[in-house]
Amino acid sequence: MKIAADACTLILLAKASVLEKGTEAFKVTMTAEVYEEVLKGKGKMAEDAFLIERLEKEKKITVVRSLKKMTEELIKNFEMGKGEASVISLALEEKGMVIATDNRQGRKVAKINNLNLVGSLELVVALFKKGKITSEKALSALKVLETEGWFDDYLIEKTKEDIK
Amino acid sequence: MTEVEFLGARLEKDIIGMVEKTAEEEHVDKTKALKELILLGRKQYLINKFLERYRKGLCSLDKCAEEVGVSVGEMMQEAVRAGIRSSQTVEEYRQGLNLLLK
Repeated sequence: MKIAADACTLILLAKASVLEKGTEAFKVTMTAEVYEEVLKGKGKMAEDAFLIERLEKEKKITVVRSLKKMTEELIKNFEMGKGEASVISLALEEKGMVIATDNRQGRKVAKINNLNLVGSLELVVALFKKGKITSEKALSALKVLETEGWFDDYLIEKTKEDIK
Repeated sequence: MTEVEFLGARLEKDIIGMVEKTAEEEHVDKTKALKELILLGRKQYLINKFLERYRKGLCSLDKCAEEVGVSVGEMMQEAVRAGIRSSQTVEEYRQGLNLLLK
């Protein structure tokens, strides 16, 4: 399964220490615009930015180009940043592509366009269900998402039920 | 060297007091203290402005980061600090999970 992730989801999964495992279970891609957004974190010595850079260098995450015209239209019509717009543009272009985003605006536009959509929470649970991470690891990742992310408590509780 | 211009402004005594206190605390002159406070204030103003737009669903988070001049990671932290919650529902979570486990 091919997943195009935005900067928010890549950062959250990196912080939760499950991104590398995610690249073993799924074919993870990011657009050049998303990669540029992620690398800005290096200026603040963000660990997630260095990890994602390493995974890109090791070809565990591939960088792809999106259609410039479509990306620009999305930026204009939905007040999106270059990264988020390029991910949506990529999924519109490539049938069957799954979008990974935790960004409200990105999720909204993905739903409008009936695109395959996932978020960080289900990615963590899927890694557990696929036997890529242990239940302890999944729960500790969810704990990080609980504090670093903006997920509602009830949603976190539902995901924890799926780890049992 | 950056070009500088003179700007006259009438300020309340308590604001002048803030500038003086900052200058004293940071061991800098009042001009430098005032510049720092303006820059920090402008940044916070932009953060608040764009987080409100994000909260209302009017723009994406990376757009906020672009406009404020911070990284996406920093903007995410600001959103969490501001108490912004995800719009994701349990049904969406279930659909996403089913898709990943196909």
